[in-house]
Amino acid sequence: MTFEVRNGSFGYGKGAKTLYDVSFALAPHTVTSVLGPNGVGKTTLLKCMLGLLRWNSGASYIDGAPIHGMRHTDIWKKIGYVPQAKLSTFAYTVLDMVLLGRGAHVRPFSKPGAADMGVAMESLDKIGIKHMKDKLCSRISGGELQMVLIARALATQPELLVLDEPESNLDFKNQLVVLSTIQNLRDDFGISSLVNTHYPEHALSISDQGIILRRDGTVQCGPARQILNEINMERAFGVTVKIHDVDVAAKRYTCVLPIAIV
Amino acid sequence: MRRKNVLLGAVLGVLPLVLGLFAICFGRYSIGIREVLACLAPPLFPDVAVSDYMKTVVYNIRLPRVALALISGAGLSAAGAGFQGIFSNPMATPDTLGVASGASFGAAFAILLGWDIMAIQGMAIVFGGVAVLIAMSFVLKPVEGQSPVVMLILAGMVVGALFSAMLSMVKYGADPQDVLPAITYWLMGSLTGTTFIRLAAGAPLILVGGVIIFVLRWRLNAMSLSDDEAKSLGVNVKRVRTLVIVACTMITASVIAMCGQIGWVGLLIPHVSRMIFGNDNRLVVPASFGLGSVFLLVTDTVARSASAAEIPVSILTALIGAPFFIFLLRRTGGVKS
Repeated sequence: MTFEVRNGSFGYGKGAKTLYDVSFALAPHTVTSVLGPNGVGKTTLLKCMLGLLRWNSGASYIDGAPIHGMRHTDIWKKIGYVPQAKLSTFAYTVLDMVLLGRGAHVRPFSKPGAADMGVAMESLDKIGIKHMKDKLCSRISGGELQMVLIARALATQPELLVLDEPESNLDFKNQLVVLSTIQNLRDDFGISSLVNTHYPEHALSISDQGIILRRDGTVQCGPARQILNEINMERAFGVTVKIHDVDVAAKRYTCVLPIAIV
Repeated sequence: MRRKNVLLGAVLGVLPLVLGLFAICFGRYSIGIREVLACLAPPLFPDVAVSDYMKTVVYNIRLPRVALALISGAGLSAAGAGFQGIFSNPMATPDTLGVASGASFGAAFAILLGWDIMAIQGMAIVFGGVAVLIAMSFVLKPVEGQSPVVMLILAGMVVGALFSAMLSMVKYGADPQDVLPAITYWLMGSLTGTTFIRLAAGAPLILVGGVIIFVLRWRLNAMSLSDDEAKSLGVNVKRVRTLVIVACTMITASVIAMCGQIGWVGLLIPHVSRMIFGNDNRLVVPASFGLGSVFLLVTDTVARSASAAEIPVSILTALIGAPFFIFLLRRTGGVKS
């Protein structure tokens, strides 16, 4: 599946546009990272591209077809959305939570059956948290909850995952768990991801494509290594950065070191 | 775990019927269970003698009342579970959108005008619906990107306050000799004087509302997440929310029209169901049907047989319900996994 945004603009109320003439395309089997300073509209970008907010002009396309003309459930069979992990009012068990991912597949006045249950279990298995299925979502750690939400999105059997800051608020280990899960889903199952992140290093380590959202609402988009360079980063964040590579055991890692506020 | 739930579900299905039969025995004029069964199914008990008086008591007085208690308790509880789900708020009750205030005003106004019991029932249903429509009209055009839930709840409070004021006005203008006591007693809630005709006018609304909430029960799980999350899970949020509101309004307005204001059931029972079965609404809704019907049946049976004069049932639902609820909350800590 190819997902595209063409010339999308959006503003809250009558004020200045938050997003201005945004265009990008997500190719199959790729990971794309969205970077940008706080409050610039990264979450807004995700909501607009998914149709949760309406573009003022421009549109999103799935395989060339505009999504506003598609049926609600048809969109959400192809795309899995992973919101920022937040506890719900009523705590469900992990399995019940993941089962909700079958929503677009279950008929409106029905409930999930044995087949849906199978898919939910499979999703838990894919990311290795099957053992947690009977735990309450309120009794697991933030990192585990994030994995549950990814499993829930996988239960949709999507071709594209859209993740909103999945590794924020997580410790080092859990950050790596989430990041490697995103990579594995692309490499083993061919599921693309679009990831909002605050960490340029994460973006560089997992993405094929990078999108930088700038203060004026425009985006800059291209291959991750080219786009996420010192000059662009300084322009977007107002911070001078130093990017350097570190080789550990024949593998190259990239560090992004913030130096000073411009 | 699942098997245990199925078993408990079966018990909850059968229990209301069994207790209902026993409730028919109780009252100022007590009747044995064999006689009750003989009245209801004569061919099965040919050797049990029943008097015409017994038949009248069973058929015309107790059976409709027991049926009303079972249906109303089930309906109010399911409505509570429905609202708590779509508003994602454990404090939501069937009255959150002001339906009880509207229905009470409608009924009191009809009593003031001296209308008959069917007209009172009709007015209560109409004004209950009107109150909710007013509340919903506030969110017809939602602000882009904002959840209408908070707006809806606030609108419900405003509408509730509005109709409470109008109710006070009706009471203020009512004759304190006879009309005011009639209004006050009606508001306190009672299942007395139930007839099959009144039941036939009110029960279908409760049944239809109950069916709507039942078929949407799994969707309630997703509805208790944020709107965007629910949408991304393939739920037509607007449609489900509207349907559940309509269903809860039909149920609550109809119950109030037949029994007056009965508090606590709609708040208490869904929580009790959650403590036993966990938060999955696939279990909470049917459990609420069962537990709610049993709770109101028992309370009403106590209300009419504990003393010579009948105690208004809403007093008992609070008197029994509140301490029981606190007891359960302390015991279970709120939820069971």
